[in-house]
Amino acid sequence: MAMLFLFSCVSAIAQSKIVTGKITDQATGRPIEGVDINVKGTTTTVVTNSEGSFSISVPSDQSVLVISYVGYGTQEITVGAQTTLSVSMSNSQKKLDEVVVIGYGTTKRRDLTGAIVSVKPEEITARPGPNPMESLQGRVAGLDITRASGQPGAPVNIQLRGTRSFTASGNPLFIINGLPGDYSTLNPYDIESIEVLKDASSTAIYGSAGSNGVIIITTKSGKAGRLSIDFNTYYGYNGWSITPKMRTGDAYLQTKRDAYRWRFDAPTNKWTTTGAIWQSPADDPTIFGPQRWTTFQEGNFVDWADEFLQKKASTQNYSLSIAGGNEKTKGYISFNYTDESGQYRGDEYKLFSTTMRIDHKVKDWISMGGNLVASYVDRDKAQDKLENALVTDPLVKPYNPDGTLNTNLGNNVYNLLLDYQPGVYGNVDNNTKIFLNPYVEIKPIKGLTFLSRAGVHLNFSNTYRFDGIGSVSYTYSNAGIAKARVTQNRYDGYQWENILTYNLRVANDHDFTFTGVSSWYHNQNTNTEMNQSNITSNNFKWYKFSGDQNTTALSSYTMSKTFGLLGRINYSYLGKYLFSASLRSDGSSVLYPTNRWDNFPAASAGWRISEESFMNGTRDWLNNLKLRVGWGITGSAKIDPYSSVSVVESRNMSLGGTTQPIYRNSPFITNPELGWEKSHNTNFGLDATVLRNRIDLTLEYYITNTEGVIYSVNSPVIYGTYTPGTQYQTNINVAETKNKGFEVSLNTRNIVGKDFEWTTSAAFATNKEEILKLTGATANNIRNGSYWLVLGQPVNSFRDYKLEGVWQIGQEADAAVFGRHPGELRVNVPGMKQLATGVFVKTAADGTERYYYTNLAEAQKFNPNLTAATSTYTYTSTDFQVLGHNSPDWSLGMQNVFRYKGIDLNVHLYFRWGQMINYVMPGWYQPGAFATNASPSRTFPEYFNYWTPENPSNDFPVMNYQAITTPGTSGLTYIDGSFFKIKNITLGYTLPANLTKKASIQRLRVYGTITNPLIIAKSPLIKQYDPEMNGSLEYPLTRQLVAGLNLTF
Amino acid sequence: MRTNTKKSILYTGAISVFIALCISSCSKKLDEYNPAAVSEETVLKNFTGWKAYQSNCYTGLWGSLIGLSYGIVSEVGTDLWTFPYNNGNNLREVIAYNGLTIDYNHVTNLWNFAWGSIKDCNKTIQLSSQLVDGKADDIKILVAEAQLLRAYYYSVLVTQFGSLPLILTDDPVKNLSPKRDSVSKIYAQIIADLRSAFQNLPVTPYENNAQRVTKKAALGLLARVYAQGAGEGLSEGGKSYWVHAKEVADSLINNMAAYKAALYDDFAKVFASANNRNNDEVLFTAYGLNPYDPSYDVFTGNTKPNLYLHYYPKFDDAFTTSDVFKRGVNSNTSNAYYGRLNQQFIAPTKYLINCFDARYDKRWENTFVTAFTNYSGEQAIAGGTSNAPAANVTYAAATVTLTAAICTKYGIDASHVGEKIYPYIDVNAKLAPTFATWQYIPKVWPKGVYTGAISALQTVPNANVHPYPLAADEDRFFAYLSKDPLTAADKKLRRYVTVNIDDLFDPSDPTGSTYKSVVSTNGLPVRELANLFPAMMKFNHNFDGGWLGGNFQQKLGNIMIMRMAEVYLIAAEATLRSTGDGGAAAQYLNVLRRRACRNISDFNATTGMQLTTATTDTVFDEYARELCGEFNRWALLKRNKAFESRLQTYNRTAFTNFVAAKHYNRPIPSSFLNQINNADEFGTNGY
Repeated sequence: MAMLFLFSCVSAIAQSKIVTGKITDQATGRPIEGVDINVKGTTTTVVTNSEGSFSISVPSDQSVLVISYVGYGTQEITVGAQTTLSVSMSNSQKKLDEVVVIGYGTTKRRDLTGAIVSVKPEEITARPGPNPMESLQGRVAGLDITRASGQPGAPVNIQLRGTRSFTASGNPLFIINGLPGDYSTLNPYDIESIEVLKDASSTAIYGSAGSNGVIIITTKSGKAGRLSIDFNTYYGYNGWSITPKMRTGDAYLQTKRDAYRWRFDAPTNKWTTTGAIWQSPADDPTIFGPQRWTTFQEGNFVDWADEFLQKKASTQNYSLSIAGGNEKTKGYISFNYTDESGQYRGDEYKLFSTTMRIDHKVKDWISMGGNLVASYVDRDKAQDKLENALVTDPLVKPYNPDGTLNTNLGNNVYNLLLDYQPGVYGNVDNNTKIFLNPYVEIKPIKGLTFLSRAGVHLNFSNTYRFDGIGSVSYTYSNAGIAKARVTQNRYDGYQWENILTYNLRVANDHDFTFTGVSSWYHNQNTNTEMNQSNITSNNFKWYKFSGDQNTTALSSYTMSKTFGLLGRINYSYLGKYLFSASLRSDGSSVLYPTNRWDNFPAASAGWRISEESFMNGTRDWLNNLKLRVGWGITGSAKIDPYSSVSVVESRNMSLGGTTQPIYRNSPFITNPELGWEKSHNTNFGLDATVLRNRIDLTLEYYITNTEGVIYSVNSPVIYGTYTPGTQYQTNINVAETKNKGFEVSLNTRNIVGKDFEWTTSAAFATNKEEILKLTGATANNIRNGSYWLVLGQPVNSFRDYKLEGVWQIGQEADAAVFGRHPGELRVNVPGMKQLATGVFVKTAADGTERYYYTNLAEAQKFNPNLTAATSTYTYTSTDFQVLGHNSPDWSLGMQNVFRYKGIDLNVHLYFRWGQMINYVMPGWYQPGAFATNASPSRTFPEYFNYWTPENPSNDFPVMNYQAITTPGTSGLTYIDGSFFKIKNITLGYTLPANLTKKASIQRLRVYGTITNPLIIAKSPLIKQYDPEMNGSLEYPLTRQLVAGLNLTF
Repeated sequence: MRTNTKKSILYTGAISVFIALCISSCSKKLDEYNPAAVSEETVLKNFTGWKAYQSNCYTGLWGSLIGLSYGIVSEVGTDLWTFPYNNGNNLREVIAYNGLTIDYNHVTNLWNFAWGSIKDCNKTIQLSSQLVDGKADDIKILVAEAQLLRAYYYSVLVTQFGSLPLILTDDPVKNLSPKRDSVSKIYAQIIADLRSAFQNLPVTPYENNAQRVTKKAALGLLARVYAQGAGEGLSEGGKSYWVHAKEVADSLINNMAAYKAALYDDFAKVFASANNRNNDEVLFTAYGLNPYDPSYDVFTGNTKPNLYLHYYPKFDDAFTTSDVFKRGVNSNTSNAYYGRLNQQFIAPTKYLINCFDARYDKRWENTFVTAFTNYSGEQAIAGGTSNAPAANVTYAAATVTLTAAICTKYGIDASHVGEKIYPYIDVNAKLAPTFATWQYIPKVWPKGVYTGAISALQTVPNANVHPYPLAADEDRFFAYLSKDPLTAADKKLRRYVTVNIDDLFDPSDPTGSTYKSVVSTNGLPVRELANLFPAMMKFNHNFDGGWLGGNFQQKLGNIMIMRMAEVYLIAAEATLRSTGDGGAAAQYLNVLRRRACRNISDFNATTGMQLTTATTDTVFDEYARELCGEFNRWALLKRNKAFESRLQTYNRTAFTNFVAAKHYNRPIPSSFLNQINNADEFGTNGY
């Protein structure tokens, strides 16, 4: 290489000449602007203008021009005698020569053997917002991204190819510039590329952390020879959330009357209006009670959602980046400021971030560099209690006649507006993140590269909470005590990786790449918390902790270390037959000392069929066809520190009214055998490009068997409890899950004209989860947080009463067998069969039959041996059935981009189908909440169709002031959450280059975006609600309307 | 090229050495560092650490085992308690044996809490032989405490669930296919533990800590366990457990002073506020939290007990909140005198009410609240503690002026229009540090003093106890449930709402287990008065240190696990069961009846307060009068095999669903069965 360099230098002395030329896109014929043209071996570089033209001085006819353009690959052309060049850059060239970042290295797309998806910068910034991953929703097949909260700064949920683990988080591993990092505050405009590594043959080199997929983010770097300044900004509004219309006014009155109009007469087992409290409107005062009746007559209904949510909360972003450099040194620096206001007053997310990157070639064989990603978040959080507010009694006066807040709404009704008074409430996050990542790279001999990369990752998260005099907590839950809390969490992660790569070409047909890696991580968390109570003035907020008996302090610490060693070989024969194999050995401190190390192998192969000679006949329509198959074992790293060994904790307890220091056993019982969860994944992939690159298709099919899934088994209570009611646990590798899925990624260029272009990209994914093995014992149906673990079912399954509607009038005798009467919920009991009116038989798992009836004579017709006068059945949790699962069956994202001259229109559609959600709102349906003495009174959405003797609804049970919560009610909240939404629509206009050029502006685009304009839920039980929130309703997702500007100098 | 090759070899060599060094150094340093914990070997081998571990044996008591779940499960489903109106079917599983299944939460809680600390007892006893230091006497006492507690937890379990696995060691390997041991084996172990505890425990508690158990607790529990085991037909050394029960009870009664055990001379003292923390009569207590002590914040148990509120009616349902019952609409949830009354779940049966001869027996008003009042917060206001909102009530605001409308509504005679009903109670509001917040300490407004000046206030032994019987001219209570039926003429004299308790019961249930409904035909002056019933107030701790501030549902007082009176009752019961000598049995009961007399002169055969002989029924009645509500009744009926007969006579509501074949034992919780490998073999106890 040194020889080559020398040669170029020498030849540069020869006579020079000027070469001009034009670069066009092969497919469209349109000129390409911004193409780099570099005289090989020199620092001479020019860039094409908006007509695609360039002019460059070359030293000699032997000079080679290196023509490159981001995403279009690189071409080399020897100048020869020409003085004008016309170069068209082809599309297949573009796609297949793309450099793809893989674990601990890069490769060209044509050589890939794993399932890896690359996301381009323009896709990452397509949707304005501070979180780069949010834009990826529906763009990467198999990567399920949802957002449950509309709060500024709220995280997104990410799950790749379904759930495999029970307790471990399903978050993919994020690698930023080579080392694990945090994407959430990374400026989307700073990202050069995102690669999603989906299959184990790609992720096994991350060993114990690779199971949930790996997402590699590379930030932008400077480019030699060109100074580029980018400025991006947008301004807009968040708001216009849809919220359920609650019962107020006449609808409220109607429900009140319904609640009192009927009376269940037990002796006759019938609903009757005789003796009911409401007979006519004259009884309205009785059913309201004197005070509430007065308020009702005044028409004082509160629309709590309206009181709480601002219609238009502003959002703004300013992002400036400067990139440039020369052959030796390249630099990139950016600054970003985001300010998003929430829908709640006082809710604000301010993000300041910067990315800096420098790469310097010290000598020909050694380069150094580093990057710094830093951010500071200042976030004010309002009390997000929309769900509580919506169901709060609407028949109160939140304000006094003089306009001040009413602090006594009475009857246990919280006036949540109290926190909006100035100075009474504060909840602030101050988070500083610094991610510093220097490296040195040495290339001592041809083909050999040694890269040593160290990383420091520091997070300082402080939270300040103040519930001052007059706040909601002060008034209602803290018994008139003002409180403040400060928490300070420090995270420091140290990382050091060494990567040795050796590339070897044998006999020109055999291409080998050997990679060896060592990887060391050491993470520590130190948390402190201070509490102050009895604060006497709201002036003090969290600034005056007194250090006396009203002050308490806590601290805690956790750490973990991992060390990994990796070897990999990549082999390519003639560029047609591709093979890769790797082995990683990982050790971790969280496992028991004797069981710390484990191995994670992988192998994959690819066959580029289109390169075979027998495919010559198809070349005119089949541009590329590749078959891939990969296999590998990956692990899940999410075992809590200190959970594999049993220790004793030092605490204090109260004994006889005095403090007694105690030791007690830690909650985890030692399991020396505990190891990683291991996922065995097999992936089949097919890449095809047809019709002159107009259609580009990738298919993936995978099977992942995860063995040794860690399940935290509760030790039976007869062996003691950690604290009263909290059982000891042991983490054991006992369960097994299976995931199967199919993914389609399709990019088509439907219409390609001179002025008009229409392209579509679609990402479709299915995934089927199944628990194959649980604890290995008889135990099945184990509650796991809000989900249940059930053999043969997906991991996040919901299990509860399966409702068969409501017992109707005429079914009295049947209902009585279950101790129920018309109007109450009817539960499907597994194994229960109806023999006749009022006679049922239930067949147990072991085949034994038991009869249930209220009339012995009727039952004896089926079984003369029965003697008990009655035999009734009570619904219990043993009747629970699997109702659905929280993971979707399939999802489909589709982008359509239309371009006409300078105008671009992007429409993003998104389907997420087959998931069940646990929607909070039906849980608030309480018939008793409309009783006169309800404490507190509540309301519920207008569209909830409840049963009355005149309205045989099967949705909700009877509305009656005496009705009580009966078994089955808990089944009401499980609803099919399938939805379709238009995620966003963007309309942009790029000013013609000849106009902007005069102002030295390379590119100027203005655009407007609307997010979440349309949402359609499948279930009729979901109305005025965005099911993407997954059942929660504290902070509704917003619609967003922004206008923005992209400017490049 | 030569130099290049050399350089390359050099570089490659350097890199290799570098990598090798890195690998060897890093791979050795994968140990965990946990500064917040210590290893068992380091701390539990020496006395200080072991003693600190031993305290865990008590964790399961207050707030957990002696809380809501066991409090209810051990009392209801008997002849004493039934549903009040509008109970909403709550607790029907145990009150009426309706739908009691392996999922029932209160039984599950009882199971979990009773087992929870047995492992700590086992481990304490196990480790005691391996200690490297410590005085033998100290070790002996602390082991004896662990034995007593283990015996107590097992006694609760065996009584409620029957045969169970008897686990006496803490083994590292947990057997996931546990086998049940026989009831007799479990009783034998409990008795062995209690005998050993009795031998080794001191008479005064170790380190003078009032929670720590002493000899008298061991002896008391031994009597109780013998009696309970006797019900299983057990015998020891050729003698029935009944005989042993009598012997142990006699031994404690005869040597009370030696064991520092006592029986108050006056029943009122048993539940006097001042005696809650250090109660002479208590043999074994679950010591509550002291809100003024820093230990309050390091409570390691479960939630604080909210047992009392289940035994109270919801006053605002009965009276609304706009006429005689003051304090606005928040009254039922933040009442600084009564606490939060929103769980109208358990009411006394007619049988229990009729057990008391209230003419002479002061246990009536010391157990049940039947007169209801408003309260003022003049002390709190004077103290400047206006940010304790529940106490911010002036004397005037707590005073009701009777209007014609009120009188008509409640059937108060019209002659009382314009008269006033004053508060009986005034509360202070005192701030306890950090989390316990407010203490609402009550005092009493004397009758006839209407100044509202706090100087007039009087301190009474127990502010829940009101004057009995309520005088006709009483003007500090707005409602009264009269045990003695009052005639229309009697009622006419009174300015307060008057209901005869008999009128609250539905006459269609001759066993007296059904309260009337709120229907216009219930015959009460206002149909909503059918919400009322006598409120059992033994656990409604109303003293400084007894309140959990802002949370009006929970109270912090000590709860007695066993007191001396029970020993007399056991002695009487065991005497009858072993010898049949009714006269001898009566002598034990007379001790309790004597101190229960409102006037000591009433203790004679004419009033019936003094007994000459006793039958089993007499003993059942006396247990009811003395110990109702005190974690006792269900076990008593079980050991006397008396559910069928007594429920049939006194509680039709429970009798309807009672199935002797299964309800003598509680269901084994499904959560436990789900965690073992032999659930089918282990069984559910027939559920």
